[in-house]
Amino acid sequence: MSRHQRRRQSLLRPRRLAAPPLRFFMPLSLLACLLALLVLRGLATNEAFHDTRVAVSVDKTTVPENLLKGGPIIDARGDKNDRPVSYRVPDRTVVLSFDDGPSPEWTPKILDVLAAHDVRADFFVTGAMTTRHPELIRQIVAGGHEIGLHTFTHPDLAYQSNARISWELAQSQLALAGVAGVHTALFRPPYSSDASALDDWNYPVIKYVGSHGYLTAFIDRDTHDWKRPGVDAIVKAAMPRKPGAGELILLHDAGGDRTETLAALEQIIVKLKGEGYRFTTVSEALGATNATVPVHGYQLWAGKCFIWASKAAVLTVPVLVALLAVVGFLNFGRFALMLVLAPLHARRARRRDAWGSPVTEPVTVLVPAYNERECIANTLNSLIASDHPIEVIVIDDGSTDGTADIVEAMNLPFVRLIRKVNGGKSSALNTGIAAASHDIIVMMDGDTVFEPSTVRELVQPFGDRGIGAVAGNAKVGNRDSLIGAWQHIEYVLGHNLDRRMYDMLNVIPTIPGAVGAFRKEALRRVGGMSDDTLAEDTDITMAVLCDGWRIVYAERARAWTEAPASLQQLWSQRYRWSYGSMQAMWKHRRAVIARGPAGRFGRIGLPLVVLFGVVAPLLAPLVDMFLLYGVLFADAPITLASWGGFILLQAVLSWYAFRLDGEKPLHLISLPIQQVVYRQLMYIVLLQSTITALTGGRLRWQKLRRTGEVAAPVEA
Amino acid sequence: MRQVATSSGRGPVHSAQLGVAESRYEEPAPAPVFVDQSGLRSRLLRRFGWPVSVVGAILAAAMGGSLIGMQSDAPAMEIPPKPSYMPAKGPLAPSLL
Repeated sequence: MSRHQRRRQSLLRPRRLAAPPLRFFMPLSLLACLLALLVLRGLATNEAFHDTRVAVSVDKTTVPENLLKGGPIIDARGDKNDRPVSYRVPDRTVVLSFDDGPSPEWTPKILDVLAAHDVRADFFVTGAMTTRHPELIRQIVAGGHEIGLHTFTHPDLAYQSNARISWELAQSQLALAGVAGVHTALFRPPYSSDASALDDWNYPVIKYVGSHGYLTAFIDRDTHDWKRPGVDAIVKAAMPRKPGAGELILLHDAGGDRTETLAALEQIIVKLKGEGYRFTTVSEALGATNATVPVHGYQLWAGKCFIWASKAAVLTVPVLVALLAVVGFLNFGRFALMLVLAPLHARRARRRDAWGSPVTEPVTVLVPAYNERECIANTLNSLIASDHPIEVIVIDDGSTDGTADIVEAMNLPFVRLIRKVNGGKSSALNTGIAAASHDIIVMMDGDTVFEPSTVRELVQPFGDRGIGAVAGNAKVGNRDSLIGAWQHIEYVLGHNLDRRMYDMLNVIPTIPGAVGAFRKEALRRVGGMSDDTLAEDTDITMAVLCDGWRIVYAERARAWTEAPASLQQLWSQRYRWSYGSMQAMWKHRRAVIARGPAGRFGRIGLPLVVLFGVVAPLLAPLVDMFLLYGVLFADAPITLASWGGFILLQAVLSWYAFRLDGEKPLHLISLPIQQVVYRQLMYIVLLQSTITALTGGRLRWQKLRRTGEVAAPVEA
Repeated sequence: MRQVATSSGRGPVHSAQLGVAESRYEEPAPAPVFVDQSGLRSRLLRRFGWPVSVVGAILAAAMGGSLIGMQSDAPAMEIPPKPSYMPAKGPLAPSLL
């Protein structure tokens, strides 16, 4: 959307923002919460920090012989860290261990089997599963079983840094404290088997966790139950190599269908009990104190808070995803509408006789001017070249920089000058409307430059009696800076896709103040311009639509404007536009329930403008939060690839818009950067003006500094 | 070049010249749309916004803090030195239990 560049200072008095920056603090704190929730949920579902790489074993030159040939339990704690020792499970003793759980489907069944045989075992649980299924951990602990850590996200620790390993341990302990009020001293690395499999990569891991006080429990017998080899194979693999030898058996209670494990477990227990084995836990087998230790105070409450927050995250994130889907639906819906309607519009526009007989009668051009010293001469000079008969009325709205004197000195025969005291753009236009001699009134800004054919192209649609107003095609003149290029892209897209779409639906919401034309009759019927809103152009356009007139877009009526050249100027311009548009939408809200043409606009145009212009941009920060989460915490390549795909889609659409407008696609190279700077700026502005609207505060006002850069039609 | 000097430039005068009713909408809109002269809405929102933001910030900080992973040390666990559990070389050691 593009409009005239500014409005009058006197409309709203400037005021400094006295309040503390709640308007920035609140969105930021809420977005921070959102990101934290996303990460918490990502951890609980094992999506964040997920790493599926598994290291292949290498040399064992650094691993002490006694560990490779020793028992499955390795003690590298405290003063044993330099020379770790290993322990065996005593003879005729068996320790059952279950990895990767707890699983809501299988863990309770396994617990039932164990309870039926009065057997206690060890469960090496992951932090993610613990966070998601707190009640299972409580059941395990209540059954007298022992809990060991199996890391939080189940990565191969051989690939991870010490900081990551430490984080995995801490986060798992936090989750355990939160769900069962315990910490544990037992640890088993993911993807591990027996002690003889220690190598140069995972031995340092064992020493590192040992230095944190953990006893590492490998295994004696791997049943490979996760491969589902059949019940008999699992039972066979669980039997001791030498009759009577103690053993630590590995089974799994999560990660897929555990029917075979469950059946095998029953047989293993019966068989080994028949051979005189006793079943126990790791700590009891060693005659040690309990590995799971209750925690109190800060550790306990920190854990509880973590579990609560994770639970809240798991519950709320689907809502956020639904909102994200709304944004996606809106964006893609808009793209789809554009892709269908813009080509139809372009085909219609190519027909020269679309509006009946050519309009040749003279028209009035209104040029409201307030302190336009730099630009007014260029503006009037461009009108001299007009190939359509025109009468120009310059309304000097109390300029203090001698704008009126410049106009007077130019002494152009077809120009009338009206000097008035400053009263705002609406009042200047109303003055001009009252003084206009002709039935068709073209409005432009004092900083806009027309091409010779602009007026003629702009008024041709008035050949159709039902058309009350025509929107022209405003172009950015100063497009060679980055910020100018971004606005250029935005203008071309806005005019060639959005406006064509709105035109086909007959709900064009805004005729740009820089280039538009009205039937005097239509203006008279809606009461002229109003200063109720800061966007009198949107306001009048909606009023004309509601009055039953048709409004069309004349793409060949080009007007060149000077776009804000600094971020600050752009900010204040867009602040007014967003605020003014929302004012206009709110002012015309009754159209939703109105009858006739007003109702048509209220039920088609207004919802579209609100959805595409307000709802989608206000939800856009959500997209960026998901993007940030995806890149930083989840799968960066996939996130970046899908984001790239979206940008590509936008680039294709933009390229099509540029083609429709006959523009060289050169400026599209800044599109990717536009997506990470400009887009955010636009939604922050919209959010800020929404907050201003909600609080009912007055808008600050800043005048755009002019350089007079846009001198003559670039492609006249 | 003709010049038309107008004494006054206020909108309503010209609307009157155009010969139309002031507004087609119910309320005559004395203040611009959205502007709340009393400042009541602003005060209400601020009163509501500050607690929400502060609680939000605290929650975000707490959730962020819970993700840092401060306490990674295991609790103490005493293992009595028993020769039978030490790595066995040669034949299986007899159980002491």
